[in-house]
Amino acid sequence: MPVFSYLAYPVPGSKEELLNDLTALDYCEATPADNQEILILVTDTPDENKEKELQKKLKKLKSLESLGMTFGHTDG
Amino acid sequence: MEISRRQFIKSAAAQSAVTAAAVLFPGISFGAWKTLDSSSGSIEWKKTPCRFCGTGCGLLVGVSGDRAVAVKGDPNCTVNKGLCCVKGYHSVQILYGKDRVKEALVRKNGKLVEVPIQEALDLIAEKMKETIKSHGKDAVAIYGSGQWSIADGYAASKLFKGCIGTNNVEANARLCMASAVTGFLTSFGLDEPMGCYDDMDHADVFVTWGNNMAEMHPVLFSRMLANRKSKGHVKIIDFATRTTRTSQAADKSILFRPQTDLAVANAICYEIIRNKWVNWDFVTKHVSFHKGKTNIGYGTEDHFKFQDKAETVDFEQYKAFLEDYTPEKVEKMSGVSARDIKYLAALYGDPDKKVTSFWCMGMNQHTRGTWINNLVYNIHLLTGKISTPGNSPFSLTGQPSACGTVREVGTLTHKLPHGVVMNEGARGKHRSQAHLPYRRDVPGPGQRGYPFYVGAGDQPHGHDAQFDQVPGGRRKGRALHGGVRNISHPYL
Repeated sequence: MPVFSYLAYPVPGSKEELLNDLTALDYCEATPADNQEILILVTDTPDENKEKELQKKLKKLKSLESLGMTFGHTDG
Repeated sequence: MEISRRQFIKSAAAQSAVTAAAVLFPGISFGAWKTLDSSSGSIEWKKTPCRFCGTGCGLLVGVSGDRAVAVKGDPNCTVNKGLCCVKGYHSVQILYGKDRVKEALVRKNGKLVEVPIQEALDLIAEKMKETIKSHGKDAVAIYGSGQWSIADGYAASKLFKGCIGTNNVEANARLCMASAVTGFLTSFGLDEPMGCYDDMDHADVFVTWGNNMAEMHPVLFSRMLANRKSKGHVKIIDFATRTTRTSQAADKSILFRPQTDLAVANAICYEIIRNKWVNWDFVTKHVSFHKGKTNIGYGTEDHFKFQDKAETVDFEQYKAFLEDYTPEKVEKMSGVSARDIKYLAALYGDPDKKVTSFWCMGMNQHTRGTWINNLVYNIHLLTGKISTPGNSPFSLTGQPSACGTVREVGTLTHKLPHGVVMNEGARGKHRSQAHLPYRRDVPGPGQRGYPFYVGAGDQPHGHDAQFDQVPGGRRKGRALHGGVRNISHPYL
C-alpha cells in the first residue's frame, strides 16, 4: 500500500488544468498553492501494480512539467 | 479523535510536501490543505528533541493512548521555531517500521534469532573476556558515532579506557568532522565552533560555501529565508560546484571548479586588502599571521613526514603571498569571473554589512579541508566579521553529538574528556571524573582509521558485537554502536 507525496510543477500557465487532471485520477489528492504555481500531490495506491499504473498515467499528463518526491512509504 | 495508521501516513506525506514547498517558496500557502484536527483533545502533545541530525530541533509528538500518532515542530523551541523538515516528520512513523529491530539478535547456526537483551549482553561480556584472555586487552575495541548521546560516550570511554585499559574507542566523527576540528584548532587553538543560530536573524548576507542547505539543513535554511523576507535587503549567495535547490532559492549562484574554492578565498582576501577593507582595530587586537605547512603529501603516502614547518609571518608577508591570487589569475583556475570574486569580496568588505558564511561537508570532507576552513576564517578575521551578531564563519554539522560526545567526551582513540590519553594529568582527571577506584588506563593511543579495522571480518552491521577469528588479524573483537558501517564505510 504505497503512499507518496510530491511537489507537482505544472507546465507554465496550466496550474488549473493540472489540478483537474490530477483530481480526475484515482488514488490522487492534489492541493494547489494559493500563491505559487505549484501543487502538492499525495498518492495512496492499494498495491505495487496500481502504483505502477498510476506512475504511467502521471507521466502522460500534458499539464504536468515535473514531479519532485518529498515522501515515500510502502508497507511491503 | 480516531486516526488510522493510513491517515497518519498520508498526513505525514502531505506535511512533507508542504515543508519542501515552504523551503523553496517562502510564504507559500495551501488554504485547501486539510490538516489533522486535534481539537477533540484526544491527542496529548509531548515535547522531545529530534535526534535525526545535528540541527537540534524541538518536536511535539502527538500521543493517543499508547501510540505516537502525529508530530510537528515545537513553536517554542529557539532552534526551529515550529519548523520541521521531512526527517522530523518521519520521526514518529519510523517508530512503527516493520524492519525496526526491537529485540536483541544473536546469530545461531548462521541465522539471526531474537533473544532476551540480558542473554545478548552476557554473550558479549563472555566473548570479550575470552578475547582479552587469549589475545590481550588491545584485541577488543568499540566503535561509535556522533549519534551516541553524551551518556553513551561517557560509558563507553569509562568501560574501555578506564576499566578494560585499552584506548581502542573510536567514532565515525573522526572521518566526518576532521577538517572542521583541525580548522578550529589551527585558526583558533580550540575545538569549538564559531557562531550561533541567532546569527541567522541578524545577518545581511549569507554565503553558502559548497553547502546545499535548502535540502541538507532545511530548517536553518528556512530561518535564513525568513530573515530575507522580513528585511527585504538580505542576500543569499550560493557558492558551489553544482546547482541545487539552494542555488534556486539564492539571490545569486556562483559555480566554481572543484578544489578551486581555496584560490577564490585567497582572492577575496587579496581584494579586501587591496581595497583597504581590513578591519585594523580587530586585526591589531586579535589576529596574528602564520604560514602553515604546505608540503603535506597526498594523504595516503607511506611513511610520510613533514619536511617544512609552520612559521610566524607578518602582515606584509601575508599580503605578498596573496599576490598569486589576483581575481584575474583565480578566474582562470576556478571558472569564477573576476567580477564575481570582487562582488563576494565587496560583500565581506562592506563594514555596514553583517556576513555569515555557512558550510558543512563540502568543506569539511574536502581533500584540503583544513586549509579551506582556515581560508574562510581568514576572510572573517581580516574584516573582523566574527563573533558578533550576524557575523560568523559557521561550520554546520550533520550529527547530533559529534562535538559533544566524540570530541568533548573523547570517544576517539587518542582523546579523553579533557586532553589526550598520552597526558598523565588528563588520564588522572578521567579517573576522577569517572569515579574509577583503580588505575588501568594506558598512555598509548589506540589505532585510528583503517588500522582500527584490521582483523575485522566482512559484513559488519550497526549496533553489533563482532568477534572475528581472522588469521593474522590484530583486532579480534569489536562492538559497534550507532553506525551502519557496511553502508557508511564499505571499504573498512
